[in-house]
Amino acid sequence: MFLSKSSKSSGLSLLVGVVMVVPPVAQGVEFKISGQINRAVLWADNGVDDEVVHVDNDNSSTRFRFVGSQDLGNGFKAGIVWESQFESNTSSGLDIPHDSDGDSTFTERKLEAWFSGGFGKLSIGQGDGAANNSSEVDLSGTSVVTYSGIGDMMGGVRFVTSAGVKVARINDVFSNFDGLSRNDRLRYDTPTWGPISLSISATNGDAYELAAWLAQDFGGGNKLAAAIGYVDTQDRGSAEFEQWGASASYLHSSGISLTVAAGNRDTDGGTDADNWYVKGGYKIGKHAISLDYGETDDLAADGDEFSTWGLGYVLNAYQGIEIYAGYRNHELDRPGVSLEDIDGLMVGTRIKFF
Amino acid sequence: MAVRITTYLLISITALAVVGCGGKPFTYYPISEMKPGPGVFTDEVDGYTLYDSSKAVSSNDIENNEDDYREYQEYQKWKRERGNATELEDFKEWQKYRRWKEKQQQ
Repeated sequence: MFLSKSSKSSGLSLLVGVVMVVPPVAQGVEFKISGQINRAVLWADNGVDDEVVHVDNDNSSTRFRFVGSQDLGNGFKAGIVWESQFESNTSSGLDIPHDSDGDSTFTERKLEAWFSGGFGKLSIGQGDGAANNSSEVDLSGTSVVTYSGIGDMMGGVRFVTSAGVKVARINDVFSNFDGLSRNDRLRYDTPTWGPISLSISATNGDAYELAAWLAQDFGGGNKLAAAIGYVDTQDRGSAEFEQWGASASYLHSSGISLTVAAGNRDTDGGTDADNWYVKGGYKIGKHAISLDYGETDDLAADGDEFSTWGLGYVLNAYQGIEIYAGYRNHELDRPGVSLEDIDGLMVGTRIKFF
Repeated sequence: MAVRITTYLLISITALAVVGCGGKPFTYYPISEMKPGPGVFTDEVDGYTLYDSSKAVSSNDIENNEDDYREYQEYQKWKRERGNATELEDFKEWQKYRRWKEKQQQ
């Protein structure tokens, strides 16, 4: 077991230590609100039925956020993040046919407090696990409609046979193995050493995550961002698994970008699944386009081969306003059953109001 | 096989870039976050400021400026007196104007 009881105690001790040494003199205090609305029209075709649905684009959901920080002096700061999403008919949760507005969900994203200083940053509460986003690094500019988490577009839609028998959802047979998303955790981020920083977090069920991050600007518009993450769920959830995921994205001064991601999940007593993803993009002025391809094997069942390809376009129309369009094809080869492809076309807008 | 190739490609690109090409760190914003930058209704970056202590005037600031307030009151008194003097000058100018007009009409 990587995180022993003494390690967990050390985490608590670190938290107490931070509070004890932080000087009581409060200085700069700042409190901000921000938020966005992201709505789209989605055409979904499972090969037997097709439907036009009005959705909240789960690639980047409608949300609002309060952030506050206080400068405590001597390089110490404390702060809070409260972020909630409010989605009506989330794109990743629906199947077709779909002839209603679906559920409206008001859900937590982040409810955390943090302390930072020369020691790094300590965060407590609901927030990103250490490995969250490690499989999703992307500099292409089209992530609002296409990125390695392809299931956000229409992951609830089920593959069907030609006779219309429903088999498995896209999100059952695909994963980019991107950490444990957001959870109630204690997280520590090291100070940055040049372009590199490390993260570790512990959450309920004794699950823990580790990650390393890199972000390097070579000048002239050339940038590289990369990350690698590891997860051990231990007693969390119904099945224990160990998982790693990694991604890297390079943006060249010409506007051309290359993004790759890969990962693996080894489930106790279950499957050993792999994922890989590649994306080529091009940015010019206010426009960004991309073409991507990915595969996930053996996630829901041994022998499953899921593949997908997609096109994305984003127009940065005005300050805070993006208009986008994306097309995606999903294919599942499962031994013993013939399944129709799933196609989707999403057109929408993301508006950041603050 | 494809996963292995992608992984090696990923690691190789990253290692080469870090070791061979210099550069400086930048802040990468994960795509799960809101896009950095100003929104439609404000030019402020990363949100609209509801409170900023560096811009607030506290009662403490006012209490510590009693001397400034007394000086302000003296200034207002000077301004009122000067205002009366200015009105007197305007009146004399008006009298001159009236005498000139009477001469014109003769």
